[in-house]
Amino acid sequence: MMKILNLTGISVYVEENKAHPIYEELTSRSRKKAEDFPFATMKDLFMVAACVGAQNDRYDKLGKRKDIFSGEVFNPKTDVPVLAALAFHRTKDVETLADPKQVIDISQCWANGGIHILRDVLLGNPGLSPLYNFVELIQE
Amino acid sequence: MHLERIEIQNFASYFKEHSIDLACTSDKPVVIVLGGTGEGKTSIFDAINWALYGTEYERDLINRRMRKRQIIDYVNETALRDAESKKLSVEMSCTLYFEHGGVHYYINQALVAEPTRDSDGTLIPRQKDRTTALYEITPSGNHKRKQYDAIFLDEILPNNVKDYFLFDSDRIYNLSSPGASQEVREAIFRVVDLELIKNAEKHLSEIATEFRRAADREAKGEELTKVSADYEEAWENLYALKEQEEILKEEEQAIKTQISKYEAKLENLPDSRELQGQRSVLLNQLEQVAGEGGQIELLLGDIREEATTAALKLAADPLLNLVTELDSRRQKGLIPKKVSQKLLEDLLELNTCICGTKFEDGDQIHSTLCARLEAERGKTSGQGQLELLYQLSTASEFVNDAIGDLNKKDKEYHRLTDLRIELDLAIKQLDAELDNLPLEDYGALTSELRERRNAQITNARKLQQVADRIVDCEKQIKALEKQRENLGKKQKKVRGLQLRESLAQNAAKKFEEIYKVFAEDSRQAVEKLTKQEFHQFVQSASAYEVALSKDYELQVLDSLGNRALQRLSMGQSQCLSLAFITAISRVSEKNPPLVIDMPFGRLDRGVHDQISNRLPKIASQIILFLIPEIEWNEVTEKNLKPKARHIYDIEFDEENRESTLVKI
Amino acid sequence: MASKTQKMTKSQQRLFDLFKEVEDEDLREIMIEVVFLEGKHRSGNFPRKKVRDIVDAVAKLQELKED
Repeated sequence: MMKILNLTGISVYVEENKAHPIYEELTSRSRKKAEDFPFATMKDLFMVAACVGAQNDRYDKLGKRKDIFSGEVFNPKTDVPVLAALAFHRTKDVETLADPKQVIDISQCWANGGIHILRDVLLGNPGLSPLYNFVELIQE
Repeated sequence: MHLERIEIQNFASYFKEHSIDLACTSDKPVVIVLGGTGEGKTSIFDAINWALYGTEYERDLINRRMRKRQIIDYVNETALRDAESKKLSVEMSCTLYFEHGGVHYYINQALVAEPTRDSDGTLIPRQKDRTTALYEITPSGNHKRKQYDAIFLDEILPNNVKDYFLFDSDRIYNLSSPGASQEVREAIFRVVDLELIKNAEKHLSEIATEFRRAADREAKGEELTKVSADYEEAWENLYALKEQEEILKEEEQAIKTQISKYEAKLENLPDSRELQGQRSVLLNQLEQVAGEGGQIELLLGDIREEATTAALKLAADPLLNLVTELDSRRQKGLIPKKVSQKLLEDLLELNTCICGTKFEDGDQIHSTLCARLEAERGKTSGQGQLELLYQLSTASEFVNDAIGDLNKKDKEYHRLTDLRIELDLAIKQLDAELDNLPLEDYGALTSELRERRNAQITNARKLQQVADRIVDCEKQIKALEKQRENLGKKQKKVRGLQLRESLAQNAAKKFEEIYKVFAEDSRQAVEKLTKQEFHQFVQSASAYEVALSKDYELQVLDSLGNRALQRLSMGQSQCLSLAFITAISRVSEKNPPLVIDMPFGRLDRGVHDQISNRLPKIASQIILFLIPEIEWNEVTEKNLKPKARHIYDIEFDEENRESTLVKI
Repeated sequence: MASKTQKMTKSQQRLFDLFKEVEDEDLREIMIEVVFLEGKHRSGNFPRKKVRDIVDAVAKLQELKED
């Protein structure tokens, strides 16, 4: 089967000064620390940040950028279709989907807009752990 | 390593020269030396140790809790009197013959003493000379002198692990007592070379510091100097914090040990036993639910995984919009309605048209179908979009499944947290009941225990604070490192030193990571072997399972997973420590001889049979020093005699305080 | 640690397997040499200068490659 979106070898960037520290703040591979770090990988956080950005119509272009992972880590069954949907949400043009680099660029801007909102939601309510603030967000 | 023979001269109660054959065979791996208390049995144990470890053992003797002695005190009294009367010096020596790696050696430790009188007129020895010599006996019979040093012995049986191969019943007893986790941890630490890794990390860190300071000294320019100073300060802080963390961890271990001891004492008080037992069960359940690695912790890991996929539902509207758009294009024929490319490929392969007509390669039907296939292939973006449409539907299904699983796990999480609260409450209620028991001793013990538990919580809080500060400090160091590196690039010498610092520091960090993995692997290996050995030693304890916790606590669990160490008999718990010692010996793979002084001395008679039956199987050479009747009785003799290559009896002359070895 | 004539124990083998997982060749080299040194001097008088020399040698090779 032909893949419309081959994201292999494409670096994914976040804003270095404002966003990258948040990525570090919310991510830990350790399962023991799941309660305080709602995301195991930066890719996971990126995906949710992009969804939150699109949901809140916050599309922010990146300033100084830092690469945090490469496109092959995206899950082809879940992440890739969502990235395509978010790209279409921005351009309303299906031809965008033929250009993997453009899809990533758009999702980076959605993520850049969503990351601050997401941080506030996850860390803003000290009554619950960050993970449980995340669960509440999903269950709303 | 295989011990062959020991010759002792004027050592302890052995006047003049005595020789003991220690060589064994695979079917008779045991040597037994029998002697009553004070008759010279332990002196031979000391002689073997002294022959092997010389001055190291002399230091051990001085540091011993029970009987502090100096090696000079071992000079035989009769030999000393004899020397005084002849106005001569006396020589005391031990020579141990052994084989290692197919090569035969002997070590001779000798001490020459002069008889003198102290202020009270008591005859005492005064050391004149002290020598150590190591020889190899070549196949041709020559004796070749070799350098005797710690490096030689480290290859065979390092000094820091000898206590697990040459030991007495005190060690067996101590390891089985509650709160022995520090000793257990140290045994594993030494035997599997964890010490080497730790030292390697430490030495590399020190070298990194040296390079760093050298780089700072060479740094020129205000900015680099300032950043270097901040960097150095950050490292100093980090080292201080890590030291603090070590101290707190040791304190944590000490408190745990104390708590174990108090709990053990309380469990032994009859009126509180039942309540303590209930408390133990509840505590165990609480740990399983809410402790490290418990159900809640595991569940939170799962919840996180599910939540990551479930959260993609936030893109529900964009997903729906794209699906709608692609479906609309499909309806209009802008993208294929079905996957016709595959169908055409199949027809061409079968050489059969869709109407059933057969065709040959190159004929009309074949050409038409090939042209059609080319045209379909040309619709690349169309096919891709069709596939994306399918993927979008599948993605939605995955997300919905994840939402369903998340909800289920969330429910389970709430159930477990409620259970945790219930268990906490129940434990508090039991504590209150225990507090009301009218026992004098009990009151003092529970008060101590409560204090220790509070201290445990305080210590844990401090440990967490230090851990958080270490994380912050490490972040700061990382940021400063980058700045320093960028500024240092402009100065060649500084750059060179920074490179060396970085290599040393990174290597130290890798050692730290490897240490954690290796320590855990070693713990698991020892746990596995201890389990096996325990069941060999105590076949009647098949209902119990042995575990070595991550805190290096030797635990025994019943079939429900509850702690049952206190329910083992004294003999069974001592078998547990023997099982651990055997496991340590096996994990080291050094296959040294086991030399045990009074192994049954503090053991229940009830386990003499099991232990004496098992002992000959746990090493290729075992030397036992036994007390007649108490340790060498009907049961042990029945098991050990057939496996004994040599049995010696010590005959003790009470009047002259002299021992003689007689082979029986 | 095992001498050249001695077979490695299971735990030594495990340790070397962990070393092999260190991707950086230079770090791996430093670590293996330092751990052998530790094994030879486990009872005392550890020659710290030799650790410096090991790090220095690896650093020099890196510098030569850069030049």
